[in-house]
Amino acid sequence: MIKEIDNFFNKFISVLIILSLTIILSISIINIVGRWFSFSLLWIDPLVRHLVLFLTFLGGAQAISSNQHIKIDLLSRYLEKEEHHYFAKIIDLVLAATMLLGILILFYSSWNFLQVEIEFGKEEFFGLHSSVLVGILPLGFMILTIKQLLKVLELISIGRN
Amino acid sequence: MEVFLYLIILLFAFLGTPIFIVMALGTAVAFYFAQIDLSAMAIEIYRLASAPTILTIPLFTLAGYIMAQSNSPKRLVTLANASLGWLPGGVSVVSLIICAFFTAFTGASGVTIIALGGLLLPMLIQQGQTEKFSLGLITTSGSLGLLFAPSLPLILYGIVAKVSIEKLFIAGIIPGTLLIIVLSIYSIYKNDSKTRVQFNSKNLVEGIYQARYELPIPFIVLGGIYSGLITPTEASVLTVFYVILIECFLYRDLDLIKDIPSIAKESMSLVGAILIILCCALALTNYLVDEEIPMQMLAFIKEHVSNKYVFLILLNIFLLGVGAVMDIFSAIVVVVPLILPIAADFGIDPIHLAIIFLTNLEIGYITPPIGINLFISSFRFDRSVIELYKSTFPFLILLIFALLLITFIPELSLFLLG
Repeated sequence: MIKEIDNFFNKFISVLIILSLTIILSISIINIVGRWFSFSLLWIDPLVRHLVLFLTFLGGAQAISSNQHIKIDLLSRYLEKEEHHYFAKIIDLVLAATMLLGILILFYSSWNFLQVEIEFGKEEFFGLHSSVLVGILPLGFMILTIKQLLKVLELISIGRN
Repeated sequence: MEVFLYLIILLFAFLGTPIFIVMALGTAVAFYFAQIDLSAMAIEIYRLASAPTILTIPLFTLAGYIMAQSNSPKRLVTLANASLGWLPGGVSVVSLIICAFFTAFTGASGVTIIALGGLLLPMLIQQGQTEKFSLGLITTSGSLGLLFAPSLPLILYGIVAKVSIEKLFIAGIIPGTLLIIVLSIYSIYKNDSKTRVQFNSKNLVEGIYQARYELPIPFIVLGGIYSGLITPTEASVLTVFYVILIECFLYRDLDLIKDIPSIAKESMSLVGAILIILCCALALTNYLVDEEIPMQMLAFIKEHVSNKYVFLILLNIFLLGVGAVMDIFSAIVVVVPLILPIAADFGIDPIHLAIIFLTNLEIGYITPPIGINLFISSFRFDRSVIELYKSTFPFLILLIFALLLITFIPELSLFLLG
């Protein structure tokens, strides 16, 4: 069940990654060609940078699946050895829970920032309120939270079996 | 209590907690005890959306991954072999150049060893090189092009240190070439091969013809930027379009619908892993700067060191240590803001500092105990890490020699900048 939800979520993230990249590339090329003809759309640059921020979270979520987040994995390599297998499983679960805690703190921080921005923010490009753009942060950390929560649940279910 | 919490976080870091979580937890503890609202962390993270060249990171990485998954490595190896294979140790020199080219595009992310290792190792052994030498050469080459444009660490350094990326791209050319030359001389010296490839102009023309679409890429990137026609960000966009055009429609190595989305997903995992560290480091380093930690470090260092050259030697020892335990991306975002003011006070040019910093971290990729290339090669070629420690050792010594030249002859980095 957890695996199925995770697979579905992974597909959803993949679609968002492709969509974001396609938009980034399409509007960036419009901007480049436009510049050659002395024609520029000022909203493209900030929009692209915010899409890269969103892409960071999507890539970060993907990196949770592929276990690609950069870490000092000296001890984990040692623990991968067969005789330490059981101990390594427990460590894995503790580390996954710690990571979930870290992501939740980041989510909480960005949620507070969003509240401030809703109250005191201003209108940015395209008529968008700055809180919509800042909303990328809690949204991104929520995606990471869901991914990591699924990972913790999966580790628990593997442990039980 | 505060110190105890930091120690726990440090323990978790060594157990294998991702670096961005270590930074987030560290910052949260620091903010809590300094009575700073936690939303300040998010405010700092949001600064990423105002970094002007941030788009270059995902796009150059994507372009590099697309090329690595196509038959580009094969074509470039064929061409390089036809042009330099006749030299004594020519295949080794070819390996160094091709790996440097790919690393510049894939950001020393391990892709070079994975994509090219399987191709180059049998070639080197077939040409009579020992397995120990060949493994050492490929493992070292995995980070060799890091000083060449448009490598990810160069761009990241520019963003973090607020140094012109265009200038960094130029500054890296001579030091990057020096590293290749030093290793090439060693490869030629170590060449035991009796069999040498005969130079054949027909093979060279055939090689150039095969790689005719890949060859213009460095010129599009560097030529476009230096001529002022395009910005680095625009160069990254055009490179992606060009690479997709040649690999999907001209060479037809890859399918736009079947292959590109999966490559994009794979490359964005790396991008996400790097940029999320940058996000969390923005909060942590800003806190450290606010607390005047770099200034305190500077005062401490100035109390004990007054000579610029002694400082440079100490800096190299420190950075080699950093490179041996930390990955390059985390090191850039955490260490650079701390050493920038100190180096400036000793009169070290920020561009020269960038090249010294990145060369050290490049060496860190093969420095025991946890240089990442050692583990990637261990995985890729199914050899023990200890075996790789031994095979990369001579290369490590040579790179340190080149590092000393780069450190004490600033002109190597600054000459092309005038």
